[in-house]
Amino acid sequence: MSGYLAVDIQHSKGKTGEKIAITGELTIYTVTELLRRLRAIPDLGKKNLTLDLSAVEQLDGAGVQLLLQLKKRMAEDRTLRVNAVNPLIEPVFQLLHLNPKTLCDATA
Amino acid sequence: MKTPAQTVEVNSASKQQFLTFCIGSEKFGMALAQTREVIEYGGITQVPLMPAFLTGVINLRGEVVPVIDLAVRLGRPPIEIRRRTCIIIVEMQHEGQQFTLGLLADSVYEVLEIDADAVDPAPAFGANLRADFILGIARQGEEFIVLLDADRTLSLRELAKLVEAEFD
Amino acid sequence: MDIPIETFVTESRELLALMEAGLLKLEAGLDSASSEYQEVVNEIFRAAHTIKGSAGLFGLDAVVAFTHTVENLMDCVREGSVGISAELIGLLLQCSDHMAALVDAYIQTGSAPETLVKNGEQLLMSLTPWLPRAAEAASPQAVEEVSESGCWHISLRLGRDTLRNGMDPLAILRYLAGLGELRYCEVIDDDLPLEDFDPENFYLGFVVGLAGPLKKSDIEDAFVFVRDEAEISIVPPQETREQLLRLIQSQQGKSRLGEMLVCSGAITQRELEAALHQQKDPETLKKPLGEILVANKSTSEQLVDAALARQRQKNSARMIRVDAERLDSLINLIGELVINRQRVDLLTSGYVDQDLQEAVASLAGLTEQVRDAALNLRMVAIGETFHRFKRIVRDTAQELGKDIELVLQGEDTELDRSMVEKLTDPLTHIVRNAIDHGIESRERRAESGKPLRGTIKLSAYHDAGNVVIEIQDDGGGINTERVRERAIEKGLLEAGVEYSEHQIHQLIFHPGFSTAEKITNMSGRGVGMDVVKRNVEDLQGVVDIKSHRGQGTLITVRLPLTLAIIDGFHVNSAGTHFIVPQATVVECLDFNSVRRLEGGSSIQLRGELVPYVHLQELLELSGQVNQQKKLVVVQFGDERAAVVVDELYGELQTVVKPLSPVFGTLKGIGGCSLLGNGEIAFILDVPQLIALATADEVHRTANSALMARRHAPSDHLH
Repeated sequence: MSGYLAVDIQHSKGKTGEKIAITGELTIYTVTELLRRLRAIPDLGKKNLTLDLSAVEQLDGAGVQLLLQLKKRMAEDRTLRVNAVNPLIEPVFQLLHLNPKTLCDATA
Repeated sequence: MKTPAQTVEVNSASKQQFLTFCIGSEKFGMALAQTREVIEYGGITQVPLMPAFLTGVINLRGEVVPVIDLAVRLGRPPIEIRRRTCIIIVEMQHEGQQFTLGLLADSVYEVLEIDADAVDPAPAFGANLRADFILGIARQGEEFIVLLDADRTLSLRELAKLVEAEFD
Repeated sequence: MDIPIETFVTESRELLALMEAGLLKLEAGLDSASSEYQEVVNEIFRAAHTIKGSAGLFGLDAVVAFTHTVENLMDCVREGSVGISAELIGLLLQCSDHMAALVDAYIQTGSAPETLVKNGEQLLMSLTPWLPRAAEAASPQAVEEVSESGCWHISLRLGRDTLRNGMDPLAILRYLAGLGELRYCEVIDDDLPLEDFDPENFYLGFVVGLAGPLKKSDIEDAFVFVRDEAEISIVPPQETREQLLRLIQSQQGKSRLGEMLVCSGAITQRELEAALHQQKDPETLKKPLGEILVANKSTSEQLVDAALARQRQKNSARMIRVDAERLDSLINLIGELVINRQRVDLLTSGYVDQDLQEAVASLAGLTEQVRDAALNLRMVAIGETFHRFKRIVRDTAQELGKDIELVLQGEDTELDRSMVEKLTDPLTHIVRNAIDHGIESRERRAESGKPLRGTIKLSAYHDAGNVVIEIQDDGGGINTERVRERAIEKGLLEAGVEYSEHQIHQLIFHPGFSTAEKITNMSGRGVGMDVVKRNVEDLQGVVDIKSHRGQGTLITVRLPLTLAIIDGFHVNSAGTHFIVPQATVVECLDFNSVRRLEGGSSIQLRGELVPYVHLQELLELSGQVNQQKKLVVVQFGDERAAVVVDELYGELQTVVKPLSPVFGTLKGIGGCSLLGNGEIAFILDVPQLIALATADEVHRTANSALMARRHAPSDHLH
């Protein structure tokens, strides 16, 4: 691995929940690494989670899958929200008819 | 066998119309209801191996109609073809099937309306004719007209049998 | 869909016939492991299924309710959970009879009468031992994937390795979005695991609604790189479905299910090939193509059903519904056309005008084609009539406890449709006779060293302008002695006089004649061979009988090919015009230029001895006789003969006008015709003519009303 990181995360804990900001590429090339880092966070999903995707420059199918898996892993009464989306990746959500804020079906 | 459409009983309550015609010196009549038209003698084609009463066939506007020598059928000598010889076209019914016949006659007279009262039943003898052929005898002034029962006289079954008999 | 109910009736009758035929085939014995067995069983199932569906469309509830159980049962049979047995087949045959009765009741009265429904219920009860134990829940109709109106409904499940293979699923969706409007999109995450999640596997599925003027193949293109491992289903939008339905229903030229579906766009070539490939897989047990396609979600059951219906339509000649009277009117008109055309020929023959002659000649050609085409419409293969006998033979043989097999031959032989209808009764009687009086009981056959199973063979073929139908049985044959005794009793024959066997056999056709010791179910109805003979003669045909004691009986029915228009050879003898059917004419010669046998009445024709007759003598024609004689050599069956006439005019085509019923059945003449100039010509019946010529052989019987027109090829040459 070179010194340049294609993807990076920043994790912070707040009073109401956790926050993760993702920077860089969220694609087939980075998902494995990203997952490794996410797995390193203990009890992820046990508290409400807020994602900041304002710095994600690329999002592909693998990336969407990963986000959805994150959502699926949430504990039963916990929610996952996205509070910021990089305009560059908005078209992906539109294509998939996904509400970028909730990662749920836009028509639902 | 009389079929309903051809019931020609001269019943006591009515008059009926008959086409009268001549064979030899005798006058006959046939119910108008069954006669279609009268045509001149002509264009008869002989049919091979037929009995004497079957003169032949004619082309009646596309229909091939057999012509019967009524004289022979009634047991008289065959009709001699003369100027006034004509063919009476009749329509018969048999078991739901319609068929057309032409009858050779020496000449045709008028259509007479005959009152049932003026008709006597067929005599037991002396008419020189099969009793079942006769509907009745009508009186017209001095003359007598033998009213023929078309269904019996021209019974398809009988005619066909006579034709077949030729082949034996 | 606005389908008139007659179409339903015709269709269900055909399907019921199919069902019956299938059941009879199963009865005859099919290895349950064979593919033919599976095909037959499937066919029976499909028949029941379709009838149920169509009946539902018309609200024929009783039919639906009854057929539903039959369909269920057949479903189990074809899956293998229920086995076929003789008993079950017998019951199923009764079921198909009941279904037919229900349809008839609806057509005639608009409802199913109580008694009929009760019968049905009883019949269903008797099926219970075979019906599945599970509660008889109404089989849920396969929920048709209904797409939102105007939208192609695409569901997509990509393979696990999609990402690894370098594909971005989003790219596929973008491609689709480029084709039209992505009305909706749903991401399916069912398969997305919580544990053991490998982010480089692809677990998601998509359900997408795509609107736009698209063909299925356009959409398929999107999946070119992923389809090997993907599960893809593309369902057309409602209008397209209706369009496809219409396309399928109006399919021309293609008769295979797969082709029809591809042609109309319901499935793609690739889907067809995949399904065909699957069909060959032994595991799918040669399932019908339609089913595989539906299972693969390549198309909907509705479209498959429509394609199958269309296939049936095209395969069955009777689906062309033409009012019989209209057809007859048409043929009459064409007859008039033919006559008129000949008049034109006559009238223009004197004109030396090239253009006129050409036009008249081409008119002749066209008229001939029109005539042939019209006549063809009336021709129907006798096979259907023959097939009806399979059931009759089976039931009757069973009733009488005999073992009989019906063999059919020449089912493709065609004859005029009006004849087919009128033949059914006489043929039925002949066949029943063969079963009842012809074929002996098993014991008797065993005693005589015959095979236990008797055979009745029904065959049909064309011969020199005739249709010949033969009914042959290998039973006991006619007991000539007994017939002779009975005939003498009845005064039909004289005791002490020698009669040939054949002559005695002819008495079978005498009214009221029956040597049966007991009057069984059928023969007791008073329908005798005399009625058969009359029916055949009404069709201007002849019937003959040949029998050998101990070996069997052969009944031959000979009918003219068509009653309408024939090709003929116009001749004249002693002033009377005749037409010799073209089919019988071998050649025409000059009488004086042929070698004749001294003292006899035969000519030598290329080494063969051919007998001749003078038509004028034979028919006692009393016209002027021409010295320049001509010879027309005719053929019938294997035999040849020659007819001497005065003049030869040439070929013509002409309308056959039946002779007046007054003529009954003339010997030697089978109808007449009007010539171009209005004159009447008689159409010669060649076999009869020759029989007439050998009249010495034909013996009289006491009852002059009856004599067989015998056509025995072996004894005419003397």
